[in-house]
Amino acid sequence: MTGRGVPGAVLRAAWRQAGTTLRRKYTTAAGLGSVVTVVIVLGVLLLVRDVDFSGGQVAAGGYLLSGFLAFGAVAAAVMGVAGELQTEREDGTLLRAKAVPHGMSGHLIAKLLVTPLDALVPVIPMVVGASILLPGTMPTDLGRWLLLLLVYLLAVAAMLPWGAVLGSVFRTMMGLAWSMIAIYGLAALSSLFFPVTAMPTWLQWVAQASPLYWIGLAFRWVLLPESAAVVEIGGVWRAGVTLAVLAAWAVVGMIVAPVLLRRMARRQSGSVVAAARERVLNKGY
Amino acid sequence: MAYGAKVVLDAVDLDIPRGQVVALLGPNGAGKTTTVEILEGFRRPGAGEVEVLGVDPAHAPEAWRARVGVVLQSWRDHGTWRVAELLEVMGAYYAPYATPEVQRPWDTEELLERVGLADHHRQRIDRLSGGQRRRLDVAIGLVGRPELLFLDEPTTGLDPAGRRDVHDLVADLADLDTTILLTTHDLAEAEKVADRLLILAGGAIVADGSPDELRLQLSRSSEVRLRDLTTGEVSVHAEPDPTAYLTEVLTARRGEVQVVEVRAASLEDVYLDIVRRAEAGDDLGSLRSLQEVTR
Repeated sequence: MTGRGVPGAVLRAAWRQAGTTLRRKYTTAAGLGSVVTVVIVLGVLLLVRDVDFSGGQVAAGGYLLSGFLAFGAVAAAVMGVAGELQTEREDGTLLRAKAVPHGMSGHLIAKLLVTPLDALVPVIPMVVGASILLPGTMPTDLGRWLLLLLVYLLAVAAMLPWGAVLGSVFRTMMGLAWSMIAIYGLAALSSLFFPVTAMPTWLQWVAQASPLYWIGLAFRWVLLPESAAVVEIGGVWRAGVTLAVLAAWAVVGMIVAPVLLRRMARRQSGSVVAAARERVLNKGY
Repeated sequence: MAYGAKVVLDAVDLDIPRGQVVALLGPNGAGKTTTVEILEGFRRPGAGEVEVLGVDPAHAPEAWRARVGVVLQSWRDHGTWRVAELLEVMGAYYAPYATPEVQRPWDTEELLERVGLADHHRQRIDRLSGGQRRRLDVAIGLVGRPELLFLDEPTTGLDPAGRRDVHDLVADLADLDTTILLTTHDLAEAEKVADRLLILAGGAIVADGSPDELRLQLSRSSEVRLRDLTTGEVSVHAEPDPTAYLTEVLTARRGEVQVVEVRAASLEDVYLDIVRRAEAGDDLGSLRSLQEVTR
């Protein structure tokens, strides 16, 4: 038994796993469902393109587009990862990974490779569609495009560990469904789709406790004109604070998530998978 | 080993030599799955010592994992993947553990041929039949060429043809000197594929021996059915060895009786009797030591 070259072999296996996961996901109808959602969102944006907030200073189309992009990052990183972990725990994927040497490490590496790309897939048609249908809502110079990519990846990095936390904490699909409803509520409270200053001051403070608020703010800072800051708290973008807060959420999440993931992996066994299967057969969820 | 106040396993003492095919039998809740999960390293025992391939599975390094194959009954994963894709990805994790003697992973095409899935390597996994899915699970358990393979109820849900295929596969693996521990509810299956049967009941291994040993040496109820040719009455006599009884009756009542049936207790009779006695709290110590006595 040699065991030589293990890190390289695990990376190669994880890379192969990530590639197959993406290929199989986006060559099935279910995987392409996210693209259909983009078409619906673009239709809504087209309908509200002439609406504005704050006496004409902020176009509703651009504001909502930034909100949808922000929510897309949250959905992919939190709901996507949490839902996948839940499914993988119940269908035996995680146990399968645990049963092969370094399989769990490889599985998590593959997930880290897949998730950012997974998050970008629905964004690309959204960005292309918005560039064509909603002129003026997308960046016009390379620097701004790169900034948009940076903000997107930072938002995914800030939220991905928390998706893993939710996926490992909730043991049933029903529990996870309740947490997803809470995230929709948080998205509404975090003013992703309307100006935060439209809410009472105390609710504005509550909104700022949520990472979703800062993700939305980051997207608006990159995508909206300078004048749109008038509907933000203090009338300014607070870009430095925004990036620092998102980085902090990412760091704390990356400390907490591995602990919970290790605990979850340790508890995986055939009887846990069998019990989940039994529950689904009996209760339907 | 206990779940809360309920003791599931107590004083399980087990030693499996390399290359043996062992079937672990027991009623529901006897602790079969818990025993196997402890041996697989998926669960830590509450007390005692466990050593599998010379290592404590609860603290085993990844190199140990490369020597062990696991086939569970509940896997439903990677439905949209193709058969060969899953085998190749899982196999890639074993590559660093190849040795000059043991090629790891097993070549995908060769392995699919061996498990009878050669014609399905491009098929979506969620479109395989139950039997084909089971064969794929076995193939994944084998992809690292394990020295020890755990099979959890390998034929559950399979039709007769699928069951026969799995039985043949186990026989093939035994020929390759792979040690196999399988759990099953099916006594006929255990008798067919295993060199040795372990019966788990009341939290302990209550019988341990080859199918023949268990059937012949533990039988306490060989039945002789005699019909009186005059009255037509059928009488039943049971004892471990009815030879002397038969000789005596046939000599003393020559021409008066017809032997209807002499029936040795089936393995099922033995199994049910052992389990019933174990669960009633009878002392089965002599059965437990059968392995040492008969070897």
